[in-house]
Amino acid sequence: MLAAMTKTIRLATDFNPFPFGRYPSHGEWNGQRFRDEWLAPALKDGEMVEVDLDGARGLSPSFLEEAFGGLVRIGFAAKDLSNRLQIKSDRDPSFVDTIFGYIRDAKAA
Amino acid sequence: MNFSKRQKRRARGRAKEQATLRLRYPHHFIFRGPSRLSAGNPRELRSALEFLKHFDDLAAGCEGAVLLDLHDTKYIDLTACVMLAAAIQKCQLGRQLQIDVRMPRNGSARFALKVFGVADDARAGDDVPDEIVEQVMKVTSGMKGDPSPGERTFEVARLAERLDAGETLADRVHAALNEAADNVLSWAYGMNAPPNASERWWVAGLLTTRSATFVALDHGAGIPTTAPQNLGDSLTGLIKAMMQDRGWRQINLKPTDSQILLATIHQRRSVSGLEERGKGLNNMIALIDRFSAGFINIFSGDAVYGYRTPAANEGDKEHCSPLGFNFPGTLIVWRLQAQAFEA
Repeated sequence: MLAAMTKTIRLATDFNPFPFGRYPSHGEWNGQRFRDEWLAPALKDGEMVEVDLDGARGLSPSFLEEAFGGLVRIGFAAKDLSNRLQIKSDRDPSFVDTIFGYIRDAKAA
Repeated sequence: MNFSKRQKRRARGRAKEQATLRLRYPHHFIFRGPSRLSAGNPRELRSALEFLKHFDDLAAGCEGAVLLDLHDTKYIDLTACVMLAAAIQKCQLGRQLQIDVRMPRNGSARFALKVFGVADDARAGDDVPDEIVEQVMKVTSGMKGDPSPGERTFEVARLAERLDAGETLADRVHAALNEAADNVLSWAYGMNAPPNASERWWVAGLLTTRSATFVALDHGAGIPTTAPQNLGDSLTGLIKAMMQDRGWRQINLKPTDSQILLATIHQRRSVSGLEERGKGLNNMIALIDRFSAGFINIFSGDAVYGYRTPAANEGDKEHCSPLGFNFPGTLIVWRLQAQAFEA
């Protein structure tokens, strides 16, 4: 059996070092865009996905909740996400629990 | 009425100065500023608001250029600088008005206006030294549709890092301010409203050897107006519970602005479970306790909320009360004091 491939998304370099806001009206580098154009396509490929938060600055609750909690609202199962999503945040490890909290608390649409 | 020689001399000087000013700015509408522009307490805040409202009303009726004459202004603080910059920008963007500023003769007031980017000082030799520039975040503004607001608010993190807070804590300061700006873009001017150049948020910061102060402002509907619309039944329920616990009285069967503001801050999450709306303020308040000292004052509608650590003598850390007048929008003054500098 082949080990599942892990795709790494580096938030600061692949997306933007200054993510901001929840929706597109809040700015170009918003949570909804990160979810729809980076996270969801990688997860739909069926791979393990690691998101590296280090280097990104000023990560606000709105951005993180829309990007990660929003995955549940667009159809991903919270349990599946907890198995296939890894968060790397060496600078502020509290983000790991925060993000999985958003996923756990989000309600499917 | 008898005037002393000194009074007569002063009146002659003033008339001469006005004539010179009129010759220098023949096509400007001249609007004179107050001697003190400050938001250090509610009384001064009210005076500053009245001045800015008067300025806005007069500018609205102008067709040509406006000269804001601050020559006799002796004192202006950081919060007033943000409010003045916002008023000027609002007139420039909303009405396409040319607004020139006659700088104060008082050196400190002139320096404050220049260093916070409210107005340019044409005087030679008044360049701001690099070490001062590094301690200041100029008044910065943003609006719905800006490509990268987070890059602008990064200047906040830059100041917090210099407070010896460390990168992680500085990042949390940055995140809290991003969240507050996000809330403004979401709610203050209407969620589905199209981008409008005059519907903005403003922020500025100042670092001293012991503390960092940040000021954020918007001219939106204000938290007491937007929170009940957005948080709905959960906020109503919390207000009812707080009324019973605290013996609050309603006025005309409606909660007051200060009751709504306090309940909004205590409301951690909305019932929908999909938002963290309002978390920006909570994060700001929570961060105060991570530093050795600090405070936050939030003015919105007819309410002022304050949180201070350590608490004032025999007082609570938190207080919320009617302001006595209506603050148009929301003003946040947030100060953090670093432990490393604590004596």
